[in-house]
Amino acid sequence: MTYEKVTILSNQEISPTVFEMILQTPNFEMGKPGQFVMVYPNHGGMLLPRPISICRQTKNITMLVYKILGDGTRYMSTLKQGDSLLIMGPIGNSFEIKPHKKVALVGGGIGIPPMVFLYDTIKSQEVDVFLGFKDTHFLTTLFTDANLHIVTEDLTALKSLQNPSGNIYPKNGNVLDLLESQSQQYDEIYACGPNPMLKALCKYADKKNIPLQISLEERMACGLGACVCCVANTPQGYVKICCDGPVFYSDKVVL
Amino acid sequence: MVDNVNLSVDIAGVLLKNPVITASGTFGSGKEYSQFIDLNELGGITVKGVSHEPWTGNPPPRVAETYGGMLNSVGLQNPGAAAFISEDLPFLRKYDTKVIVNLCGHSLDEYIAVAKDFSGVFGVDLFELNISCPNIDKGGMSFGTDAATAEKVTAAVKPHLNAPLIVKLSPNVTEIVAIAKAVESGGADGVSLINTLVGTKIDIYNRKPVLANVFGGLSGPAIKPIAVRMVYQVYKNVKIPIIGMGGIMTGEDAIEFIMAGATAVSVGTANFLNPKATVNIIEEMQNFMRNQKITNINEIRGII
Repeated sequence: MTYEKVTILSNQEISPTVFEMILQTPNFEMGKPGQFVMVYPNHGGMLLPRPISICRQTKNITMLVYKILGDGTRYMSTLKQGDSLLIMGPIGNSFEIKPHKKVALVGGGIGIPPMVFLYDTIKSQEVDVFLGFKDTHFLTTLFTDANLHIVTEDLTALKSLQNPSGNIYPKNGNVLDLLESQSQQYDEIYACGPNPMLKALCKYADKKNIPLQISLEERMACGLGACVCCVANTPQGYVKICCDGPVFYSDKVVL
Repeated sequence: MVDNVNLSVDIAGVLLKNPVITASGTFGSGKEYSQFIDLNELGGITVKGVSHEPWTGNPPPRVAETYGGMLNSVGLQNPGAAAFISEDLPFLRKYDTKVIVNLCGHSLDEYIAVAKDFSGVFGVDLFELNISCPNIDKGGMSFGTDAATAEKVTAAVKPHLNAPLIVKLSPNVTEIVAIAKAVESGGADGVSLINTLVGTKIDIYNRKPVLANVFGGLSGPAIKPIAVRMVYQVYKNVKIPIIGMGGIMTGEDAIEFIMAGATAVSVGTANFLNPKATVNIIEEMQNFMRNQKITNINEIRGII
Protein backbone atom coordinates (compact mmCIF):
# COMPACT_ATOMS: atom_id res chain seq x y z
CA MET A 1 0.00 0.00 0.00
CA THR A 2 1.30 3.43 -0.96
CA TYR A 3 0.47 6.68 0.85
CA GLU A 4 1.90 9.67 -0.96
CA LYS A 5 1.39 13.03 -2.58
CA VAL A 6 1.07 12.75 -6.34
CA THR A 7 0.78 15.26 -9.17
CA ILE A 8 -2.36 15.84 -11.21
CA LEU A 9 -1.66 15.67 -14.94
CA SER A 10 -5.20 16.51 -15.96
CA ASN A 11 -8.66 16.82 -14.46
CA GLN A 12 -11.49 17.32 -16.89
CA GLU A 13 -15.24 17.01 -17.04
CA ILE A 14 -16.08 14.17 -19.44
CA SER A 15 -19.84 14.32 -18.88
CA PRO A 16 -21.91 16.70 -16.72
CA THR A 17 -20.58 16.36 -13.11
CA VAL A 18 -18.37 13.40 -14.08
CA PHE A 19 -14.62 14.03 -14.09
CA GLU A 20 -11.61 12.15 -15.33
CA MET A 21 -8.48 12.76 -13.26
CA ILE A 22 -5.11 11.57 -14.47
CA LEU A 23 -2.43 11.26 -11.79
CA GLN A 24 1.29 10.83 -12.14
CA THR A 25 2.00 7.81 -9.94
CA PRO A 26 5.41 6.31 -10.80
CA ASN A 27 6.00 5.10 -7.23
CA PHE A 28 2.49 3.90 -6.61
CA GLU A 29 1.88 0.21 -6.09
CA MET A 30 0.08 -1.40 -9.04
CA GLY A 31 -3.56 -2.13 -8.33
CA LYS A 32 -5.89 -4.80 -9.59
CA PRO A 33 -9.37 -4.40 -11.12
CA GLY A 34 -11.89 -3.66 -8.39
CA GLN A 35 -9.39 -2.00 -6.06
CA PHE A 36 -9.69 1.65 -5.09
CA VAL A 37 -7.66 4.52 -3.68
CA MET A 38 -8.41 6.92 -0.85
CA VAL A 39 -8.24 10.56 -1.93
CA TYR A 40 -7.55 13.04 0.89
CA PRO A 41 -9.25 16.39 0.14
CA ASN A 42 -7.36 17.99 3.05
CA HIS A 43 -9.31 21.17 2.58
CA GLY A 44 -11.56 23.39 4.69
CA GLY A 45 -13.64 21.48 7.19
CA MET A 46 -13.20 18.17 5.38
CA LEU A 47 -11.50 15.45 7.33
CA LEU A 48 -12.14 12.11 5.73
CA PRO A 49 -10.60 10.60 2.62
CA ARG A 50 -12.88 9.67 -0.31
CA PRO A 51 -12.79 6.16 -1.74
CA ILE A 52 -12.52 6.29 -5.55
CA SER A 53 -12.16 3.17 -7.69
CA ILE A 54 -9.22 2.79 -10.03
CA CYS A 55 -10.42 3.22 -13.61
CA ARG A 56 -7.09 2.58 -15.31
CA GLN A 57 -3.52 2.19 -14.17
CA THR A 58 -0.18 1.83 -15.88
CA LYS A 59 3.29 1.93 -14.38
CA ASN A 60 3.38 5.74 -14.30
CA ILE A 61 -0.24 6.83 -14.51
CA THR A 62 -3.43 6.28 -12.53
CA MET A 63 -6.79 7.36 -13.89
CA LEU A 64 -9.72 8.06 -11.60
CA VAL A 65 -13.22 8.84 -12.81
CA TYR A 66 -15.55 10.35 -10.22
CA LYS A 67 -18.86 12.12 -10.01
CA ILE A 68 -19.56 15.23 -7.96
CA LEU A 69 -21.73 13.89 -5.17
CA GLY A 70 -20.71 16.05 -2.24
CA ASP A 71 -18.12 18.44 -0.85
CA GLY A 72 -15.13 16.12 -1.35
CA THR A 73 -15.73 15.32 -5.00
CA ARG A 74 -16.73 18.96 -5.64
CA TYR A 75 -13.37 20.03 -4.23
CA MET A 76 -11.59 17.41 -6.34
CA SER A 77 -13.26 18.84 -9.44
CA THR A 78 -11.66 22.25 -8.77
CA LEU A 79 -8.10 20.89 -8.83
CA LYS A 80 -5.94 21.76 -11.80
CA GLN A 81 -3.07 20.30 -13.74
CA GLY A 82 0.09 20.53 -11.63
CA ASP A 83 -1.76 20.50 -8.30
CA SER A 84 -0.79 17.80 -5.87
CA LEU A 85 -3.12 15.31 -4.24
CA LEU A 86 -2.57 12.98 -1.32
CA ILE A 87 -3.72 9.43 -2.03
CA MET A 88 -3.46 6.00 -0.45
CA GLY A 89 -3.87 2.65 -2.11
CA PRO A 90 -4.45 0.36 -3.80
CA ILE A 91 -7.04 -0.84 -1.30
CA GLY A 92 -9.33 -3.83 -1.07
CA ASN A 93 -9.64 -7.17 -2.80
CA SER A 94 -10.26 -7.36 -6.54
CA PHE A 95 -12.43 -9.11 -9.06
CA GLU A 96 -11.48 -12.76 -9.29
CA ILE A 97 -10.44 -13.43 -12.86
CA LYS A 98 -10.88 -16.95 -14.18
CA PRO A 99 -10.02 -18.61 -17.51
CA HIS A 100 -13.55 -18.21 -18.86
CA LYS A 101 -14.80 -18.23 -22.42
CA LYS A 102 -17.58 -15.69 -22.19
CA VAL A 103 -18.28 -13.12 -19.52
CA ALA A 104 -20.58 -10.15 -19.01
CA LEU A 105 -19.47 -6.84 -17.49
CA VAL A 106 -22.29 -4.73 -16.12
CA GLY A 107 -21.77 -1.13 -15.05
CA GLY A 108 -24.28 1.45 -13.94
CA GLY A 109 -23.44 5.17 -13.84
CA ILE A 110 -20.44 5.94 -11.67
CA GLY A 111 -20.04 2.18 -11.14
CA ILE A 112 -18.59 1.98 -14.64
CA PRO A 113 -14.98 3.17 -13.97
CA PRO A 114 -13.78 -0.05 -12.26
CA MET A 115 -15.26 -2.04 -15.15
CA VAL A 116 -12.83 -0.28 -17.49
CA PHE A 117 -9.88 -1.59 -15.48
CA LEU A 118 -11.43 -5.05 -15.45
CA TYR A 119 -12.06 -4.92 -19.18
CA ASP A 120 -8.45 -3.88 -19.86
CA THR A 121 -7.36 -6.97 -17.93
CA ILE A 122 -9.68 -9.60 -19.37
CA LYS A 123 -10.29 -8.46 -22.93
CA SER A 124 -8.68 -11.58 -24.35
CA GLN A 125 -11.86 -13.34 -23.23
CA GLU A 126 -15.12 -12.84 -25.09
CA VAL A 127 -16.66 -9.93 -23.23
CA ASP A 128 -20.14 -8.48 -23.50
CA VAL A 129 -20.39 -5.10 -21.82
CA PHE A 130 -23.67 -3.68 -20.51
CA LEU A 131 -23.63 -0.06 -19.44
CA GLY A 132 -26.49 1.93 -17.98
CA PHE A 133 -26.67 5.72 -17.87
CA LYS A 134 -29.27 8.18 -16.69
CA ASP A 135 -28.62 10.46 -19.62
CA THR A 136 -25.25 11.27 -21.20
CA HIS A 137 -22.73 8.50 -21.60
CA PHE A 138 -19.07 8.42 -20.59
CA LEU A 139 -16.13 5.99 -20.87
CA THR A 140 -18.00 4.09 -23.59
CA THR A 141 -15.12 4.44 -26.06
CA LEU A 142 -12.77 2.53 -23.77
CA PHE A 143 -14.46 -0.83 -24.29
CA THR A 144 -12.92 -1.06 -27.74
CA ASP A 145 -13.44 -4.65 -28.83
CA ALA A 146 -16.39 -5.67 -26.72
CA ASN A 147 -19.99 -6.13 -27.71
CA LEU A 148 -21.19 -2.96 -26.12
CA HIS A 149 -24.79 -2.66 -24.99
CA ILE A 150 -25.86 0.71 -23.68
CA VAL A 151 -29.09 1.74 -22.07
CA THR A 152 -30.16 5.19 -21.12
CA GLU A 153 -33.31 6.97 -20.07
CA ASP A 154 -32.61 9.52 -22.80
CA LEU A 155 -31.73 7.96 -26.16
CA THR A 156 -30.97 11.29 -27.82
CA ALA A 157 -27.95 11.52 -25.53
CA LEU A 158 -26.43 8.57 -27.37
CA LYS A 159 -26.64 10.17 -30.81
CA SER A 160 -23.08 11.40 -30.66
CA LEU A 161 -21.74 7.96 -29.85
CA GLN A 162 -19.14 6.73 -32.31
CA ASN A 163 -19.89 3.25 -33.57
CA PRO A 164 -17.06 2.30 -35.91
CA SER A 165 -17.30 -1.44 -35.41
CA GLY A 166 -21.07 -1.58 -35.47
CA ASN A 167 -21.23 -3.48 -32.21
CA ILE A 168 -22.86 -0.82 -30.08
CA TYR A 169 -26.51 -1.33 -29.24
CA PRO A 170 -28.17 1.72 -27.67
CA LYS A 171 -31.59 1.09 -26.10
CA ASN A 172 -34.13 2.52 -23.71
CA GLY A 173 -34.75 0.78 -20.41
CA ASN A 174 -32.35 -0.66 -17.88
CA VAL A 175 -29.31 -2.91 -18.03
CA LEU A 176 -31.17 -5.89 -16.64
CA ASP A 177 -33.78 -5.84 -19.44
CA LEU A 178 -30.90 -5.77 -21.86
CA LEU A 179 -29.07 -8.62 -20.18
CA GLU A 180 -32.25 -10.69 -20.01
CA SER A 181 -32.86 -10.21 -23.73
CA GLN A 182 -29.59 -11.97 -24.52
CA SER A 183 -29.64 -15.59 -25.57
CA GLN A 184 -26.03 -15.96 -24.43
CA GLN A 185 -25.12 -17.99 -21.39
CA TYR A 186 -22.29 -16.32 -19.48
CA ASP A 187 -19.67 -18.12 -17.42
CA GLU A 188 -19.39 -15.18 -15.03
CA ILE A 189 -20.91 -11.75 -14.52
CA TYR A 190 -19.02 -8.82 -13.03
CA ALA A 191 -20.92 -5.75 -11.89
CA CYS A 192 -20.66 -2.39 -10.20
CA GLY A 193 -23.40 0.20 -9.94
CA PRO A 194 -26.32 1.46 -7.88
CA ASN A 195 -27.86 -0.90 -5.34
CA PRO A 196 -31.20 -1.44 -7.14
CA MET A 197 -29.25 -2.56 -10.22
CA LEU A 198 -27.09 -4.92 -8.16
CA LYS A 199 -30.15 -6.35 -6.39
CA ALA A 200 -31.85 -7.09 -9.70
CA LEU A 201 -28.66 -8.66 -11.03
CA CYS A 202 -28.36 -10.88 -7.95
CA LYS A 203 -31.84 -12.28 -8.67
CA TYR A 204 -30.99 -12.79 -12.33
CA ALA A 205 -27.69 -14.53 -11.62
CA ASP A 206 -29.29 -16.72 -8.99
CA LYS A 207 -32.07 -17.75 -11.39
CA LYS A 208 -29.62 -18.45 -14.21
CA ASN A 209 -27.10 -20.02 -11.86
CA ILE A 210 -24.27 -17.78 -13.07
CA PRO A 211 -21.51 -16.71 -10.65
CA LEU A 212 -21.84 -12.96 -10.07
CA GLN A 213 -19.14 -10.73 -8.57
CA ILE A 214 -20.32 -7.32 -7.42
CA SER A 215 -18.31 -4.35 -6.21
CA LEU A 216 -19.93 -2.43 -3.35
CA GLU A 217 -19.65 1.17 -2.26
CA GLU A 218 -20.06 2.70 1.20
CA ARG A 219 -19.05 5.78 3.15
CA MET A 220 -15.62 5.13 4.67
CA ALA A 221 -13.29 6.68 7.22
CA CYS A 222 -9.94 4.88 7.54
CA GLY A 223 -9.81 2.60 4.50
CA LEU A 224 -7.68 0.17 6.50
CA GLY A 225 -10.26 -1.96 8.28
CA ALA A 226 -9.71 -0.22 11.62
CA CYS A 227 -12.79 1.94 12.06
CA VAL A 228 -15.44 -0.60 10.96
CA CYS A 229 -17.57 2.11 9.35
CA CYS A 230 -18.04 0.67 5.85
CA VAL A 231 -19.89 -2.58 6.30
CA ALA A 232 -21.93 -4.90 4.13
CA ASN A 233 -24.41 -7.34 5.58
CA THR A 234 -23.88 -11.07 5.20
CA PRO A 235 -25.69 -14.07 6.68
CA GLN A 236 -22.76 -14.29 9.15
CA GLY A 237 -22.97 -10.61 10.17
CA TYR A 238 -21.34 -7.42 8.97
CA VAL A 239 -18.10 -7.53 6.97
CA LYS A 240 -15.83 -4.60 6.10
CA ILE A 241 -16.19 -3.38 2.52
CA CYS A 242 -12.75 -1.73 2.49
CA CYS A 243 -10.74 -4.84 3.30
CA ASP A 244 -13.06 -7.87 3.01
CA GLY A 245 -14.39 -6.29 -0.23
CA PRO A 246 -15.22 -4.19 -2.12
CA VAL A 247 -15.85 -7.20 -4.40
CA PHE A 248 -18.14 -9.94 -3.15
CA TYR A 249 -19.81 -12.95 -4.72
CA SER A 250 -23.48 -12.06 -4.86
CA ASP A 251 -24.55 -15.11 -2.84
CA LYS A 252 -22.27 -14.09 0.05
CA VAL A 253 -23.81 -10.67 0.82
CA VAL A 254 -27.29 -9.43 1.66
CA LEU A 255 -28.02 -6.22 -0.23
CA MET B 1 16.30 25.60 22.58
CA VAL B 2 16.95 22.55 24.72
CA ASP B 3 18.39 19.34 23.30
CA ASN B 4 16.84 16.62 25.36
CA VAL B 5 13.19 16.61 26.23
CA ASN B 6 11.52 14.06 28.46
CA LEU B 7 8.08 13.03 27.36
CA SER B 8 7.55 10.06 29.65
CA VAL B 9 4.49 10.13 31.86
CA ASP B 10 3.04 8.01 34.64
CA ILE B 11 -0.57 6.89 34.53
CA ALA B 12 -1.61 5.09 37.69
CA GLY B 13 1.87 3.63 38.10
CA VAL B 14 2.21 2.63 34.44
CA LEU B 15 5.10 4.44 32.75
CA LEU B 16 4.47 5.57 29.17
CA LYS B 17 7.49 6.58 27.05
CA ASN B 18 5.44 9.50 25.77
CA PRO B 19 1.90 10.78 26.36
CA VAL B 20 0.51 9.88 22.93
CA ILE B 21 -2.00 7.04 22.89
CA THR B 22 -4.41 5.96 20.17
CA ALA B 23 -8.10 6.45 20.88
CA SER B 24 -10.32 3.42 21.08
CA GLY B 25 -12.16 2.49 17.91
CA THR B 26 -9.97 4.50 15.57
CA PHE B 27 -6.91 2.31 15.45
CA GLY B 28 -8.33 -1.21 15.27
CA SER B 29 -5.92 -3.33 17.24
CA GLY B 30 -2.86 -1.61 15.83
CA LYS B 31 -2.18 -4.13 13.08
CA GLU B 32 -3.93 -2.01 10.46
CA TYR B 33 -1.56 0.92 11.06
CA SER B 34 1.67 -1.01 11.54
CA GLN B 35 2.39 -0.72 7.79
CA PHE B 36 2.62 3.08 8.17
CA ILE B 37 4.20 3.65 11.56
CA ASP B 38 6.43 1.90 14.06
CA LEU B 39 4.04 1.01 16.87
CA ASN B 40 7.03 0.98 19.26
CA GLU B 41 7.06 4.77 19.05
CA LEU B 42 3.64 5.16 20.64
CA GLY B 43 3.09 5.81 24.32
CA GLY B 44 0.20 3.39 24.21
CA ILE B 45 -2.40 1.76 22.04
CA THR B 46 -6.02 1.72 23.13
CA VAL B 47 -7.73 -1.03 21.21
CA LYS B 48 -11.24 -0.99 19.83
CA GLY B 49 -13.98 -1.72 22.36
CA VAL B 50 -14.13 -5.32 23.55
CA SER B 51 -17.28 -6.96 24.89
CA HIS B 52 -17.88 -10.33 26.54
CA GLU B 53 -19.85 -11.72 23.59
CA PRO B 54 -19.42 -10.62 19.95
CA TRP B 55 -21.40 -7.49 19.05
CA THR B 56 -22.85 -7.05 15.57
CA GLY B 57 -22.90 -3.25 15.52
CA ASN B 58 -25.35 -0.91 13.81
CA PRO B 59 -26.57 -1.03 10.19
CA PRO B 60 -24.75 1.11 7.59
CA PRO B 61 -24.26 3.93 6.72
CA ARG B 62 -22.24 4.30 9.91
CA VAL B 63 -20.23 7.42 9.16
CA ALA B 64 -20.96 10.98 8.09
CA GLU B 65 -18.61 13.91 7.75
CA THR B 66 -19.54 17.26 9.24
CA TYR B 67 -17.60 20.53 9.20
CA GLY B 68 -14.39 19.80 11.10
CA GLY B 69 -15.79 16.59 12.46
CA MET B 70 -17.30 13.22 11.80
CA LEU B 71 -20.24 11.27 13.15
CA ASN B 72 -19.99 7.54 13.63
CA SER B 73 -22.57 4.98 14.61
CA VAL B 74 -20.47 1.83 14.42
CA GLY B 75 -22.11 0.52 17.58
CA LEU B 76 -18.96 -1.15 18.92
CA GLN B 77 -18.96 -4.04 16.47
CA ASN B 78 -16.37 -6.48 17.77
CA PRO B 79 -15.76 -10.23 17.78
CA GLY B 80 -15.77 -10.53 21.58
CA ALA B 81 -13.16 -10.92 24.30
CA ALA B 82 -12.12 -14.50 23.47
CA ALA B 83 -11.27 -13.58 19.86
CA PHE B 84 -9.45 -10.43 21.00
CA ILE B 85 -7.37 -12.33 23.54
CA SER B 86 -6.37 -15.08 21.11
CA GLU B 87 -5.84 -12.99 17.96
CA ASP B 88 -5.06 -9.34 18.73
CA LEU B 89 -3.36 -9.33 22.11
CA PRO B 90 -0.41 -11.57 21.09
CA PHE B 91 0.27 -9.22 18.15
CA LEU B 92 0.25 -6.14 20.37
CA ARG B 93 2.52 -7.75 22.94
CA LYS B 94 5.33 -7.92 20.40
CA TYR B 95 5.68 -4.14 20.63
CA ASP B 96 7.29 -1.98 23.26
CA THR B 97 4.21 0.11 23.94
CA LYS B 98 1.48 0.06 26.58
CA VAL B 99 -1.64 -1.88 25.73
CA ILE B 100 -4.90 -0.37 26.91
CA VAL B 101 -7.96 -2.56 26.56
CA ASN B 102 -11.28 -0.77 26.20
CA LEU B 103 -14.13 -2.69 27.83
CA CYS B 104 -17.78 -2.29 27.02
CA GLY B 105 -21.05 -3.82 28.07
CA HIS B 106 -24.82 -3.40 27.87
CA SER B 107 -25.40 -4.18 31.53
CA LEU B 108 -23.61 -4.47 34.84
CA ASP B 109 -23.41 -8.23 34.31
CA GLU B 110 -21.86 -7.81 30.87
CA TYR B 111 -19.26 -5.38 32.22
CA ILE B 112 -18.34 -7.81 34.96
CA ALA B 113 -18.27 -10.70 32.47
CA VAL B 114 -15.84 -8.94 30.13
CA ALA B 115 -13.67 -7.91 33.08
CA LYS B 116 -13.53 -11.55 34.17
CA ASP B 117 -12.62 -12.60 30.61
CA PHE B 118 -9.30 -10.83 31.21
CA SER B 119 -8.56 -12.28 34.62
CA GLY B 120 -5.41 -14.35 34.28
CA VAL B 121 -4.69 -12.84 30.87
CA PHE B 122 -1.17 -11.52 30.61
CA GLY B 123 -0.21 -8.41 28.70
CA VAL B 124 -2.77 -5.71 29.44
CA ASP B 125 -1.19 -2.58 30.95
CA LEU B 126 -4.35 -0.59 31.56
CA PHE B 127 -8.07 -1.08 31.20
CA GLU B 128 -10.36 1.63 29.93
CA LEU B 129 -13.99 1.28 30.86
CA ASN B 130 -16.36 2.56 28.20
CA ILE B 131 -19.37 3.77 30.13
CA SER B 132 -20.13 6.51 27.69
CA CYS B 133 -20.52 5.21 24.17
CA PRO B 134 -23.57 6.96 22.75
CA ASN B 135 -24.16 4.30 20.12
CA ILE B 136 -25.70 1.61 22.22
CA ASP B 137 -29.43 1.77 22.75
CA LYS B 138 -29.31 0.69 26.35
CA GLY B 139 -26.53 0.40 28.89
CA GLY B 140 -23.58 2.53 27.80
CA MET B 141 -25.36 5.83 27.71
CA SER B 142 -27.16 5.52 31.02
CA PHE B 143 -24.07 4.34 32.92
CA GLY B 144 -22.06 7.37 31.86
CA THR B 145 -24.69 10.04 32.32
CA ASP B 146 -25.66 9.33 35.90
CA ALA B 147 -23.11 9.79 38.68
CA ALA B 148 -24.44 7.03 40.96
CA THR B 149 -24.59 4.49 38.13
CA ALA B 150 -21.14 5.45 36.89
CA GLU B 151 -19.73 4.90 40.37
CA LYS B 152 -21.55 1.59 40.68
CA VAL B 153 -20.21 0.11 37.44
CA THR B 154 -16.69 1.30 38.26
CA ALA B 155 -16.82 -0.33 41.67
CA ALA B 156 -18.32 -3.52 40.21
CA VAL B 157 -15.67 -3.99 37.54
CA LYS B 158 -12.59 -2.87 39.47
CA PRO B 159 -12.10 -5.96 41.71
CA HIS B 160 -11.95 -8.27 38.68
CA LEU B 161 -9.10 -6.47 36.93
CA ASN B 162 -5.39 -7.17 37.21
CA ALA B 163 -4.33 -3.76 35.87
CA PRO B 164 -5.29 -0.15 36.71
CA LEU B 165 -8.70 1.04 35.58
CA ILE B 166 -9.29 4.20 33.56
CA VAL B 167 -12.94 5.20 33.18
CA LYS B 168 -13.84 6.95 29.93
CA LEU B 169 -16.33 9.73 30.52
CA SER B 170 -19.20 10.85 28.35
CA PRO B 171 -19.44 14.56 27.54
CA ASN B 172 -23.21 14.24 27.09
CA VAL B 173 -23.84 15.29 30.68
CA THR B 174 -24.82 18.39 32.56
CA GLU B 175 -21.99 18.26 35.08
CA ILE B 176 -18.84 16.39 34.02
CA VAL B 177 -17.12 17.02 37.37
CA ALA B 178 -19.84 15.16 39.26
CA ILE B 179 -19.33 12.06 37.09
CA ALA B 180 -15.54 12.28 37.38
CA LYS B 181 -15.74 12.50 41.17
CA ALA B 182 -18.18 9.60 41.25
CA VAL B 183 -15.92 7.22 39.32
CA GLU B 184 -12.97 8.35 41.45
CA SER B 185 -14.99 7.32 44.51
CA GLY B 186 -15.85 4.06 42.75
CA GLY B 187 -12.17 3.21 42.61
CA ALA B 188 -11.09 4.44 39.17
CA ASP B 189 -7.32 4.84 38.85
CA GLY B 190 -7.77 7.48 36.16
CA VAL B 191 -10.27 9.02 33.80
CA SER B 192 -10.21 9.54 30.06
CA LEU B 193 -12.26 12.23 28.41
CA ILE B 194 -14.05 13.04 26.29
CA ASN B 195 -15.94 10.39 24.40
CA THR B 196 -17.94 11.55 21.37
CA LEU B 197 -20.83 14.01 21.52
CA VAL B 198 -24.19 12.77 20.28
CA GLY B 199 -25.18 14.37 17.00
CA THR B 200 -26.94 13.78 13.73
CA LYS B 201 -26.81 14.92 10.11
CA ILE B 202 -29.70 15.14 7.68
CA ASP B 203 -29.51 14.48 3.96
CA ILE B 204 -31.77 17.31 2.83
CA TYR B 205 -32.06 16.02 -0.76
CA ASN B 206 -33.31 12.60 0.28
CA ARG B 207 -35.02 13.98 3.40
CA LYS B 208 -33.61 11.41 5.79
CA PRO B 209 -30.79 11.08 8.33
CA VAL B 210 -27.41 10.21 6.82
CA LEU B 211 -26.74 7.58 9.48
CA ALA B 212 -28.96 4.49 9.47
CA ASN B 213 -28.88 4.72 13.28
CA VAL B 214 -30.03 8.40 13.04
CA PHE B 215 -27.68 9.46 15.86
CA GLY B 216 -23.93 9.09 15.98
CA GLY B 217 -20.95 10.23 18.00
CA LEU B 218 -19.27 13.44 16.89
CA SER B 219 -15.48 13.51 16.99
CA GLY B 220 -12.71 15.55 15.40
CA PRO B 221 -11.44 19.12 15.77
CA ALA B 222 -15.02 20.44 15.98
CA ILE B 223 -15.28 19.11 19.56
CA LYS B 224 -11.82 20.10 20.82
CA PRO B 225 -12.77 23.25 22.78
CA ILE B 226 -15.41 21.28 24.69
CA ALA B 227 -12.90 18.54 25.44
CA VAL B 228 -10.24 20.99 26.66
CA ARG B 229 -12.81 22.73 28.87
CA MET B 230 -13.90 19.44 30.43
CA VAL B 231 -10.32 18.27 31.05
CA TYR B 232 -9.64 21.63 32.69
CA GLN B 233 -12.68 21.30 34.97
CA VAL B 234 -12.02 17.69 35.90
CA TYR B 235 -8.33 18.33 36.60
CA LYS B 236 -9.27 20.95 39.19
CA ASN B 237 -11.57 18.52 40.97
CA VAL B 238 -10.06 15.02 41.00
CA LYS B 239 -6.72 13.58 42.08
CA ILE B 240 -6.50 10.72 39.58
CA PRO B 241 -4.67 11.19 36.26
CA ILE B 242 -6.49 12.24 33.11
CA ILE B 243 -6.11 11.02 29.54
CA GLY B 244 -7.37 13.90 27.41
CA MET B 245 -8.86 13.50 23.97
CA GLY B 246 -11.19 15.12 21.49
CA GLY B 247 -10.06 16.47 18.14
CA ILE B 248 -6.30 16.36 18.63
CA MET B 249 -4.72 16.83 15.20
CA THR B 250 -1.33 18.34 16.02
CA GLY B 251 1.33 18.47 18.71
CA GLU B 252 0.05 21.91 19.70
CA ASP B 253 -3.41 20.45 20.27
CA ALA B 254 -1.91 17.78 22.49
CA ILE B 255 0.04 20.39 24.49
CA GLU B 256 -3.20 22.30 25.02
CA PHE B 257 -4.73 19.25 26.71
CA ILE B 258 -1.62 18.73 28.86
CA MET B 259 -1.72 22.36 30.00
CA ALA B 260 -5.41 21.90 30.83
CA GLY B 261 -4.43 19.03 33.11
CA ALA B 262 -4.14 15.85 31.07
CA THR B 263 -1.28 13.48 31.86
CA ALA B 264 -1.58 11.76 28.49
CA VAL B 265 -3.60 12.29 25.34
CA SER B 266 -5.40 10.10 22.84
CA VAL B 267 -5.49 10.61 19.10
CA GLY B 268 -8.53 9.31 17.24
CA THR B 269 -10.08 10.93 14.20
CA ALA B 270 -6.69 12.29 13.10
CA ASN B 271 -5.66 8.71 12.24
CA PHE B 272 -8.25 8.73 9.44
CA LEU B 273 -6.82 11.87 7.84
CA ASN B 274 -3.29 10.70 8.20
CA PRO B 275 -2.26 7.19 9.24
CA LYS B 276 0.99 8.68 10.56
CA ALA B 277 -0.78 11.28 12.72
CA THR B 278 0.30 9.82 16.08
CA VAL B 279 4.04 9.81 15.35
CA ASN B 280 3.81 13.28 13.78
CA ILE B 281 2.14 14.55 16.95
CA ILE B 282 4.92 13.10 19.14
CA GLU B 283 7.51 14.87 17.00
CA GLU B 284 5.59 18.14 17.06
CA MET B 285 5.31 17.96 20.87
CA GLN B 286 9.08 17.47 21.09
CA ASN B 287 9.66 20.43 18.79
CA PHE B 288 7.34 22.61 20.85
CA MET B 289 9.13 21.66 24.04
CA ARG B 290 12.57 22.33 22.54
CA ASN B 291 11.50 25.72 21.26
CA GLN B 292 9.78 26.64 24.52
CA LYS B 293 12.69 25.31 26.64
CA ILE B 294 10.56 22.73 28.40
CA THR B 295 12.72 19.78 29.39
CA ASN B 296 10.03 17.64 30.98
CA ILE B 297 6.43 17.36 29.83
CA ASN B 298 5.30 17.08 33.45
CA GLU B 299 6.41 20.71 34.01
CA ILE B 300 3.50 22.03 32.02
CA ARG B 301 0.72 19.73 33.12
CA GLY B 302 -2.23 21.65 34.51
CA ILE B 303 -0.39 24.97 34.55
CA ILE B 304 -3.48 26.87 33.42
